[in-house]
Amino acid sequence: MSRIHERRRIYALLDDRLSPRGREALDDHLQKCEACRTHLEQVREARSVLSLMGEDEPEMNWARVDAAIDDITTAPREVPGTIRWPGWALGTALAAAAAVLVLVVVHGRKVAQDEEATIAVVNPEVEVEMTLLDSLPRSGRLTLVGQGTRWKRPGLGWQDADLETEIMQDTVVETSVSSAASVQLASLSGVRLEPMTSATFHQITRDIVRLDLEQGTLSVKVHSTSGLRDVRVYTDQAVVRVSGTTLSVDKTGGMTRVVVAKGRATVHPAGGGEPRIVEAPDALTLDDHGVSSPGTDAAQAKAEVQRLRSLHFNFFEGEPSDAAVAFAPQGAAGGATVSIGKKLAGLAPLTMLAPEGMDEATLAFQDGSTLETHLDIEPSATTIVNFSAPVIKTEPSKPKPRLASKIIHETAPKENIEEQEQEQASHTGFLAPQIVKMVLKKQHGRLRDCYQKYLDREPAGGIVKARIRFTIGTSGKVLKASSTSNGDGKLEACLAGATSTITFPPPSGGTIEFEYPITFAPK
Amino acid sequence: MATQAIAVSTPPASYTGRDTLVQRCASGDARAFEELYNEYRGMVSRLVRNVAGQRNDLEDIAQEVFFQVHKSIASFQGSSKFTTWLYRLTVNVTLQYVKAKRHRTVPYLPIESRRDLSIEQPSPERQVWGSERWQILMSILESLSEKKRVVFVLHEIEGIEAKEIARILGIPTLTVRTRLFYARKAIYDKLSRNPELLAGMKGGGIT
Repeated sequence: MSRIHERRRIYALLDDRLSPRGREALDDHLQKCEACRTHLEQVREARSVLSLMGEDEPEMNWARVDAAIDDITTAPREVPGTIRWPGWALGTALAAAAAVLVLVVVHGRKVAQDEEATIAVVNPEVEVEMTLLDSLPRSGRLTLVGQGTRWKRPGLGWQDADLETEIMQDTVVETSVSSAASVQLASLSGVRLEPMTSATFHQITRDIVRLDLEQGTLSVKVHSTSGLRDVRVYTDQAVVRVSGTTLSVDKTGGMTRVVVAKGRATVHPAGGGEPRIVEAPDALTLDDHGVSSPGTDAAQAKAEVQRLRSLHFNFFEGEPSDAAVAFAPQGAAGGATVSIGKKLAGLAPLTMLAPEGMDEATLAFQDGSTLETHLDIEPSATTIVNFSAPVIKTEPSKPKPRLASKIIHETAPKENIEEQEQEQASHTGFLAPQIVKMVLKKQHGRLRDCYQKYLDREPAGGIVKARIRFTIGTSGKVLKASSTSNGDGKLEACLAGATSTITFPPPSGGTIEFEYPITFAPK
Repeated sequence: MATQAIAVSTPPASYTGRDTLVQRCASGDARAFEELYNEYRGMVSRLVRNVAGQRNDLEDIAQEVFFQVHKSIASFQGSSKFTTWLYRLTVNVTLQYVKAKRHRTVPYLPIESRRDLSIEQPSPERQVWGSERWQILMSILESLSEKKRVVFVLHEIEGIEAKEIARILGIPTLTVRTRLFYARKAIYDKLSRNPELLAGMKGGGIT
């Protein structure tokens, strides 16, 4: 057994969360492992010491605080919505007020940990401009100055943007004046710039990103769940429209080269002419006079695709082994989604080793055959993720009749892009998968009822994995729903029926189709 | 663990009493706010210290917390426990303040040189442990990253369960557990490497 595995058990024991079986296994192990016994004892001692910190009031000048509380309680209450400027922010606030800018200027650059970037938000309701010199400002410190602007961080909710703060991958800056002018920096998660690329981020809305590529290579991967509907890369030679695609655009001298690794992109030559559709794996080269090299030879395209994949899925150093996956992010700090293929599907993420500096690791099963890991990684760190021990039980426990059931896993619904393409883009609407997931989660009880009925019919039914596919109409009502599963036909019909009665928020721009994976298990 | 539960997680008097106090504060009752301040100042200041680390401006942060409580208590809907709301607000205000001050950090003065700033004597716990040990313990805590430290403090020092921490921080419980695991690993490894520190604290008579 791994040390980390034992630690998990020890901590679960201390939290009173260890199952009787786990307790038994731990007891067995402790008998054999003196180091583990010592560790448990030391942790117990440490916890009892730490708990005393929960009783110790810090030294501070309470007289000052008491006086301030007196001031607060005797002063008239502030009108909601006004911003109180702390003394230390007043200087910057006054400086900002003196500026007569109409634009929101977002000036970013490659931000090392100790460097600063500045965002001056003076009148945040008009436009946003962001200049990226060589990297996305995915992390680092910045200053937000201005009234009426709020910013959001995961876990911390909306706050007035009158503070020096940190910009992170999921930071959302939004004006409280006009929601139409909102800036969702989270959208940047769909875009990655290679180091040394000089590109200008001209516009960000919730749906559209425009990147002006001056020189260098810009690699773009648009995640279907990133919320981006349209990424447009502008060079002197072409406008490349990307949606749900992985590609790179290389601007060297007077040439632009577009290589599509996944999906397809539409290339509009700047000099006019018919737009060209480039489907993976393929490439297109344009000069100032238009397309100079339509298509490319297969071997060259394959090599480019490999290079692109290594850029985006560069966690494989050489062939992936069954034991370990190494992942090294390129360039700036930020998150990366690591998908582990079927080769590792039978292995559980019971062991996870990461070097110092790795900030967070959340492991989740996407479905029975895929593991997905999200890692927020410091720049240039290399993270080793070890997988060990079987994850998929070969003998699922037999459920008893009328057992209570539960949903053990669901992921955000994915927009069914392939299907859309087959139906010649008949679904043109947009609705954020997160919203769809939220609505679906409220209906889990009804979906669980279907599974409960299935268990009544098939007491030995066990774990069921299902996929519900449904189309949301312009009014938000479900137009059609179907389901596939490893259960029976009645279960699938029940799941489809339950889904078809759900009403979602109306998608913008037309209908949209989603597929929702869900796993049920007896309790 | 011997003394995980603390005063704030054990409702004083009755829940109804606290609800009334909060309602009175929300309606602008100055006296009620003073009562609320007296009841929660220990919890708030402790959390501020444990999240922000040792610094000379802890009272500024505590003051800012209570200012925000006063400003926002009218918007407290009662959909969560008041302590959940207060924990969340305290953590948020503290983190904001610390970040805002980060590149003009107030250097921490040794406790001896702060005597004139403090009108109160060190706590009995600290008298027994001694300042030096106390500072080692705090520096170990401060070595954690912010995210991990917040989760660690709320769980291991304040004795709050992971699910409640998830509600306080607005993050998934799984994320809380992951951060907690790595935080514990780091802290307990460091404490284990200082057995004399643990023994010294225990030997001081507090276990």
